[in-house]
Amino acid sequence: MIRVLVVDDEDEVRAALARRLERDGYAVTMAGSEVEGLAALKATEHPYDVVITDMNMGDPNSGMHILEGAVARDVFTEVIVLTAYGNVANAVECMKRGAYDYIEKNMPGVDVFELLVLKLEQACQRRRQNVQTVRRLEEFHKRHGE
Amino acid sequence: MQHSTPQAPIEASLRHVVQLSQAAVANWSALELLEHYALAATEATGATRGFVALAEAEVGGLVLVATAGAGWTDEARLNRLSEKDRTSTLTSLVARTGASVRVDDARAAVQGYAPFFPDIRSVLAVPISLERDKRVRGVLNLESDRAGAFTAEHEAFVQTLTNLAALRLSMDDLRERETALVQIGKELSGSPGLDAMLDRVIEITSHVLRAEECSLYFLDQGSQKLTLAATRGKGMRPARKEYALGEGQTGTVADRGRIVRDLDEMRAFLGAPIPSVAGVVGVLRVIRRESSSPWFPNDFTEADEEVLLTIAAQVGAAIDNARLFARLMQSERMATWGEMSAMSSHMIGNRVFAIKGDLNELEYVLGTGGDVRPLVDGMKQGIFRLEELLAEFRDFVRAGNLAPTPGDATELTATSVTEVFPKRGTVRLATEYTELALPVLADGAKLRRALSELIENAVTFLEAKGGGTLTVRTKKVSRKEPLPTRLALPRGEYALITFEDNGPGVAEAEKERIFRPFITSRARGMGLGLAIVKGIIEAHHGGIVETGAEGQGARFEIALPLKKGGK
Repeated sequence: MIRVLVVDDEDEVRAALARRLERDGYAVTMAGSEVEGLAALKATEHPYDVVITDMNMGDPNSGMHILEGAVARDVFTEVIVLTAYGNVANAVECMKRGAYDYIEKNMPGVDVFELLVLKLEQACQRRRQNVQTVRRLEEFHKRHGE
Repeated sequence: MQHSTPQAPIEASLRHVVQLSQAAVANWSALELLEHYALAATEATGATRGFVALAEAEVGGLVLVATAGAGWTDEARLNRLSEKDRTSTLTSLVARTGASVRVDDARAAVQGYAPFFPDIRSVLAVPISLERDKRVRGVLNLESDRAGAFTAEHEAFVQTLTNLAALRLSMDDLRERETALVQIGKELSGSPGLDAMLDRVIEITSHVLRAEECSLYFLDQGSQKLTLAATRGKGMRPARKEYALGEGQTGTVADRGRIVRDLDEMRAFLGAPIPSVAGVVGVLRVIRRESSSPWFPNDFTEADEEVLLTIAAQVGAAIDNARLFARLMQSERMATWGEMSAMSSHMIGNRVFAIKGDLNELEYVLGTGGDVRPLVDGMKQGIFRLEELLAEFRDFVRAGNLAPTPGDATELTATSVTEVFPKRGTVRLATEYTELALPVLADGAKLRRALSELIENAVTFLEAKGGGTLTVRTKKVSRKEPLPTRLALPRGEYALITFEDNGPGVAEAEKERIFRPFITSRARGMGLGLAIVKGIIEAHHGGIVETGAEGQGARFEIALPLKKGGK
């Protein structure tokens, strides 16, 4: 089962996200703040496959901190950042630092939950590819190495 | 004195002059000083009697203020300068011409001389005046029943006295003007309302310049007309409420941007332009009725010009300040708006996001079959929360729009407490209301909204703690009592409303911050609660501070200015 960590400081937002992801069979863990999110990343035995985090949780750079925490724990973990509508500067910065993508929470006329599920699938694919690529590299090294 | 040497009279008079000079600056009133000088002059010259008469604008002539020597009765004091005498006595002559008069035999020298005291032969009358004033303030008059009683030496001696007296009178005038200017400065910086402030300025100006009428006109930039903004008169009303630029003396002041001083048969006029960074914004003018006495001058002097110009400049600076302040407030509001739009898009956006999540799930459940009730409830809740946010937003924006009516601070407080404080629960209520009336001009609904917020806050924190006491007090603060520190309000009478609880309290670093928008320790709302409270209180020209000790409880103190003229 694919393991997803959802970090958001709004109860309803967190609940809605978890409900939608669970419908598609993801195993969802929830964290209600930046601090809780970072703690969850450290505490888990197996790293999360994907982290979905809100950009602004009191601190406008909360999402960035979660990204750093996730990548520090496991370089293959994919991160999707949620931002307020029309506030993408920080999210773009996150992508430069390795986030998979960002989603604006209130895109007019768009069912963001479906969009999120789509992006989540793509993120999982990329993660799988990355893991496979590294494994092949490792095997290649084993065979042709000294 | 039997062994007096030729130097002795000089020494004696020197000693005398020193004494008199000391007297001039001694801690006496001007009138006490004049009494002293009348006596000194009478004694030093061997006159039968002496008196000092001062020019009084309000009477339009000379008024006897000090007497010395023989023969004075109350009747004599009252009659000495009667209507008839004004033009006939030597005293009036000196007041009119400003030159001393020494007459050896008045009855022989002055035609139609009609003295009040029949025994008068010689007269010495010296004007009390300063050369730079160009006007006679009064006369020191000496009379003797001997012919040729007064010498040139006597005259010189009395002149020394009158010079000292004139100096002292002038000094008192300057002091009075200085006090008035300081007072005006205070009014301009301290008064909350522009109208009340202008009224006070006009009042002080008319007093210090002895004007029968003092009016302030503002120049309307659109119509280019001067419109009456404030006026004060002693039996005189401004003839017109409006002047076009260049029309009349008042219009001329604004048109030329210069002071205008004018005197005709009817009145003395002095008008000064009110300067501002944007040019002339109005005219401050004073008018005196022409004196009924033909010799008593009532025109304005250069010193008056200076005073009026100074006051007009202060008014101009205050107006500039007020405009600057308004602009500053405007830009601060714009900054708050920016923060507000970011904050509201965050908070409203999250609510909408959650509702969209419910919708998404609803569509799914409708397709697969299942219970839709929880989803509909969730959406309802979400929309209610959105409406709460909008209401909070609206209250914050409208905090400053008041419709004030007269009310009583204690009554308003008691009503809010009754409405909001929970009837049952773990929180206890204690009230200590003053018996005194606390008349305030307040928007009852808005003020109750503010007070209710404080009560709800306290109750929420106390309930979370498992109980406690909220103490509500009202009290009258007089002009002399200090207000709580950090309340930057002008001195005056205030209603002080206090909400004190024994909840967690507010940390020192948070005491100012809690009143800023978007600060909250509660899960719900936008964090505008205390910002709204502060906005409402400040719109009432009052102030609010938190003065409790962290760990012991919060104490919110609200000061509202008491309505002037209230019982």
